[in-house]
Amino acid sequence: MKHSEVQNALYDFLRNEISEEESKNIEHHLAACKACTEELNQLRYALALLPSPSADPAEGKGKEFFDALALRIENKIRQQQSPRSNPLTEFAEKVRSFVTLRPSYAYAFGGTLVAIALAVFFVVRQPEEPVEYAGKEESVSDYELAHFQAQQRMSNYLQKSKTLLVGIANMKQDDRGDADFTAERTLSRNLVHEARFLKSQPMDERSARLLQDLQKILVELANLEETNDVPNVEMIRSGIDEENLLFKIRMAEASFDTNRSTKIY
Amino acid sequence: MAAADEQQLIQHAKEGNQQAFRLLMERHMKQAYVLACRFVGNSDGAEDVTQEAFVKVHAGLASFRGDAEFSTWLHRIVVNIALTKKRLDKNRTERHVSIETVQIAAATDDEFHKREQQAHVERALHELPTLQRAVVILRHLNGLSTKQVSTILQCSEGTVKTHLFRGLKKMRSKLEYLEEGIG
Repeated sequence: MKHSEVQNALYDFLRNEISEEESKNIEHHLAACKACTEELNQLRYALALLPSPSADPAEGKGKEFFDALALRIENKIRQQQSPRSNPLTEFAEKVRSFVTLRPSYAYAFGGTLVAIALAVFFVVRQPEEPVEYAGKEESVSDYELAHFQAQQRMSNYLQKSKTLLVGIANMKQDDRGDADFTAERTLSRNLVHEARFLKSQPMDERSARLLQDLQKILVELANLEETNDVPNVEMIRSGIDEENLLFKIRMAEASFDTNRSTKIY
Repeated sequence: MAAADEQQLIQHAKEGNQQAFRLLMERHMKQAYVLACRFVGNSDGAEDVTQEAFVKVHAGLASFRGDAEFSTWLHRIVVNIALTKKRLDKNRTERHVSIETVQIAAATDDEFHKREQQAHVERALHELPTLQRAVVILRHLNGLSTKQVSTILQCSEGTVKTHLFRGLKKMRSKLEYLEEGIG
């Protein structure tokens, strides 16, 4: 017999609750094994300490006590009128029983569930789909994408404004006699409309000032008479020069180009 | 009805016969109370556990298929409730011990020594890991067979034997300081 088999059978051996053959086997093992003999002595000592199995914790509790307890139980049952158990409550009872009797397994199971939940959480929080731009793939967030789009629109706005203002600034003296400003008016109105959107976007102070200066000129252009509004055009030309707008636009564009080469966009 | 077979009693109780349920309670009440007492260690707690156990028995009687004996099923319910209560009322154990101390103070020297030792033993028993404590109480104090204990605790007979041996061994080491008092 193995030591563990003998030790697990020692309680039954001490209480004569095993077969004669098994008892002889244990005696045979004990005769040759000091460790198991020591375990037997320790077990004997522990049993001597424990209250006797015959000791009755209900000693002194008579019929009246149990009748009163039964009455209380019946009252509680009537009060609760609990529905008969269903599969769900049976399952809950089994889980509660399992947790109570084997807390270590329950903790291990709970820990595993938490680990799975965390793993799922982190997988779900992976970065967004990569966004393709200028031939290379970059992972950008929604915020970065919106910022990038706003910068693109700002750049287009500046380019169109520059083209418009350069056209106005370079208008020859001879052309001004019977000038037709329909295209300039339309473009200016579109740019004024675009500037309203750009103002709502976050931007540095210099760009905001440029936008404001440009807005004044563009509003003037948008309000030109369709033909022969030369005096006002002259005023606008001088405004462009005074504000040095073309230079400021070029500076702003150069700044955007630098940002594009250093940032992901 | 008093002489009726237990199976018939259970069947009548399942059908809603309150008298049959009352008889079932009377047959098993003391057994359930004693077991609860051994688990929770005090009379008030044992009454609560017994009451809750029979309320649960009444609620779950319809699902009792009779695969195991009624008493085994009742034992399982009592053990589960008692262990849960014990865990929830852990702090009250200290209060219980202090009550014991007051009783000890009023006793004679011999009784004092005996009761003090008993309090140490009970504390050591209640400090055992849950399954070991349950096995020691059910197998040793309640005198149930290894097979009955394994059915109540829903584990193998080998596990019952192992936990009994380990539980008793652990108690022995916890109470080593009382050795001189044992004849």
